[in-house]
Amino acid sequence: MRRHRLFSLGLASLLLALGTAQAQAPLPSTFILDNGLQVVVQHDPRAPVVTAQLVVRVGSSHEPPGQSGLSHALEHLLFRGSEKTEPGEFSRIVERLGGRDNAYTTPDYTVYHLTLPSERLEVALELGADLLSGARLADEEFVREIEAVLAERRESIDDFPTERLHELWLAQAFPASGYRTPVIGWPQDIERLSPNALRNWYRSWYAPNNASLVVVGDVQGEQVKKLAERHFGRLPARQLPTSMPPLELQNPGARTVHIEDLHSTPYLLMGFNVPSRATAQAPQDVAALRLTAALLASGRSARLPLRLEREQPLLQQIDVRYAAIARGDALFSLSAHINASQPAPLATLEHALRAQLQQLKDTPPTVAEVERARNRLLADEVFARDALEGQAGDLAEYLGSALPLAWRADAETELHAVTAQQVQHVAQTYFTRERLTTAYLTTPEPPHE
Amino acid sequence: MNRCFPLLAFALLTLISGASASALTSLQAAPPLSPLPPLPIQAWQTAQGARVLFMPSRHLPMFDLQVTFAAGSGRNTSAFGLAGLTLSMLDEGTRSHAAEQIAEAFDASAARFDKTLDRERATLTLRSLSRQAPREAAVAQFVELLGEPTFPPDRLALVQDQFFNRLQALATSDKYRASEQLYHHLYAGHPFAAPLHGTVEHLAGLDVADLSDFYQRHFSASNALIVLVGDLSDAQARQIAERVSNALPQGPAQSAMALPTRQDAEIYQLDGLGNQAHLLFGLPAVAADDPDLPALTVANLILGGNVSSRLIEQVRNRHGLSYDPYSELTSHSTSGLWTLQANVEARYQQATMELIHNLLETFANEGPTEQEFDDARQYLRGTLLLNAVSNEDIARHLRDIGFNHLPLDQRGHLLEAVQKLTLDQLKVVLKKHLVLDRLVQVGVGPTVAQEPLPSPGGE
Repeated sequence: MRRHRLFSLGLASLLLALGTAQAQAPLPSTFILDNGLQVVVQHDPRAPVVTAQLVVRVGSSHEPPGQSGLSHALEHLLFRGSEKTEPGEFSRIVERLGGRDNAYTTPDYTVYHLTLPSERLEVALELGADLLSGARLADEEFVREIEAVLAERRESIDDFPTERLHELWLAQAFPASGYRTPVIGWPQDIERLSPNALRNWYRSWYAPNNASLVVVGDVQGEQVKKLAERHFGRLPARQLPTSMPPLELQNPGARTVHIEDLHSTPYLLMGFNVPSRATAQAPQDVAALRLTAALLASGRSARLPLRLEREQPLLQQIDVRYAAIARGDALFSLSAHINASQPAPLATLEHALRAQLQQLKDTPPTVAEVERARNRLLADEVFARDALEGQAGDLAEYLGSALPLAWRADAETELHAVTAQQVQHVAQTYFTRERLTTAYLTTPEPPHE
Repeated sequence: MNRCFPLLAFALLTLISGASASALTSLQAAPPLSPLPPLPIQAWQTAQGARVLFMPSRHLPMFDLQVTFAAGSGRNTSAFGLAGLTLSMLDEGTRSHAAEQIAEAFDASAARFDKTLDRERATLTLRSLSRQAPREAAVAQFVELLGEPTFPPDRLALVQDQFFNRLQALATSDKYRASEQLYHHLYAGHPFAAPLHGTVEHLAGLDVADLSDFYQRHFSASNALIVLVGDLSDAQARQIAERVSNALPQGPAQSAMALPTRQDAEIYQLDGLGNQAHLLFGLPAVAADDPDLPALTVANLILGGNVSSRLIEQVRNRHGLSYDPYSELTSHSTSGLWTLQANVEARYQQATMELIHNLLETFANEGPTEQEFDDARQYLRGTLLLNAVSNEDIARHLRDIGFNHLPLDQRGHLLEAVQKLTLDQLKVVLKKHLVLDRLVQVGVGPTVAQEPLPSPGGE
């Protein structure tokens, strides 16, 4: 498929913005078919358009060592022939309707999405059911498509030192769990994938009881229910492999990784092992971590852009992320490039970032600062509903991580309750050396004369 | 390699038999699609001469405000980077507030403020909640920086540094370098040849008087297009447009952009880093209001604009050379260009360029098949529908039709033109514009030994 985007942990800015509830959003209607397929429908009447997304709960964190990239390669192959479509025909059908289709793989799940005129919703559901049960996975198509996967890896990871560093950093940051595995797969593993391995993976995980269907747009729940039963109802439920949510060590220890590149602007990436909404003992910690991320870097008046980019021009492109919705543990990450016009050593940047985190531990933020960060997070939830795919992607996150949709509404309530003291508390609890993985991208030292 | 042919023949067979042969039951008895509903766009002009386009969309409690000026990089003919630097300095200080206070005002009202520059246009964007308190605060701050920027000298060095950093990063971007080379050639002697983000030498030589002067001449009300989309009443929209318009300097509208002169074919090879090569092919095309644009839009979809295009079929599916090759039409107000790009392993650069050249030659000579032609026309209808759901997409559409003085029902006009179009007419337009002895080819990549095309699954 064209323009598949990979979402590895923390890589997509969407993940932060989409992570939570929207009390103002109308509640979606939900139902479960007899075979276990969960269907979620969100009404949005702005235009006669609908997006349908099939979420299958398998991703890179499920993959065994040596077979990284299985879920992502399978995602590619599903468009190359099925019971009802010839290779390439899927896209031609969608295009004749003026629709667009795409797919992406995350560590926890895989999403296939189709947006088209709402009058043709049934086509989307028929194609979706065919993806879930009718894939051909023919040898000759595998041989061809694996080249596109390798090209994707070269073009999106290998050619970019910061992307390569990000992959190595994840491998360090998750010492005990499958979250260490890159979504696209390590190159030597992609080379070793086989059509048989993909077929087995498909048979193991692609079942109605391991999938959800999200529909957002100008449609009603009853209509979707009738069509979902017609096309998905006949698929049998299957026994699924055992899978444990990826959990990390309480004290993994300080870790570092370092690469050099002659032409890159030096870059620093720091990540603390933290719980997600699924694994947190106290949900309030999750809301406080979200607020901390916003307070540090959301908006030009946030602490890090203001203090380290403007008042003291040390860095550029500061980015702070915390993706709270996952089936396992999470990372709280900070990254930045040095200011190339006034280059300071990367160690100076690292020291400045640590000092900012230390300040959060020492002194609670002001009430005004907390309010501003909270308002921005709440507004982001509204802005994220602008695109139909954004709304569906938000629901897909919860469904793909097998979390209750009721938690979306709770997340907003929890965000409202966060205090300045709780921000200080999570900083003290989680921003410790033992939880930290630091990655450095530097230029090589010139040889000594 | 030979095994590709039976497959290709099979693909053509399914193309010819069309959608009716599909195994999908949902397509077999589907009634025809409804006509495209027109968008409820309102247009007016303010007393000061700013043009306004407004489309209400009241489902979500938010709105978008965009103000666009004919103040892109093509307007800074003597100082490369002046347009961008002026735009970037607008929120660095006003008569009433310092930069930090401006940033804090936007953040406190949870609004998103952004600035974008292209060769022709400078655009300021505000996205805000529509509730009265945040709306009022965000609009007030936005209007203030548009109307009374002071370009404080102590902020200039900081913003200049940001530009230098960006230029340094772009110097390693194969894609940016290829695009700049293409504009430099196709627009030789024309303002669009100016580098989009300026040069270090020119930027370093600018002072606040230059910025202030550029602002006075280009950011006037008669030079402004105001776009509003979202949860606003007619009265609220009119009031916001008035406030923006009143705040802007007075001055004459900018003259129309000149036409580029005709250039010869050329091949450029630029040194690049890493193991990949970026390939960019470009031809002059047409302006946004050109009568040939509907036909070229259809032709572009078939060539490389959609997923089942010839470019994807050949470069990605058949040879596995590139993940995401594509072609696109770019239309400015008085000219345009047709580009095609692919990222490949450096060792296949030469072979891929030949492959794409042959593909272009065949397409120019033979044109599309009936099936491709029909599919692309169907696709276009749905695309217009899908691209008018979100505020963001609608605002982009309004900006394009407003800036280029296109009819308010541009979608309806385009669709009608495309429905009337015959395949023979399209072939005539294609021959007129897809002229290979004007083709500019740019390759950016390392120098490595060249290899013949791989054919995965073949032989």
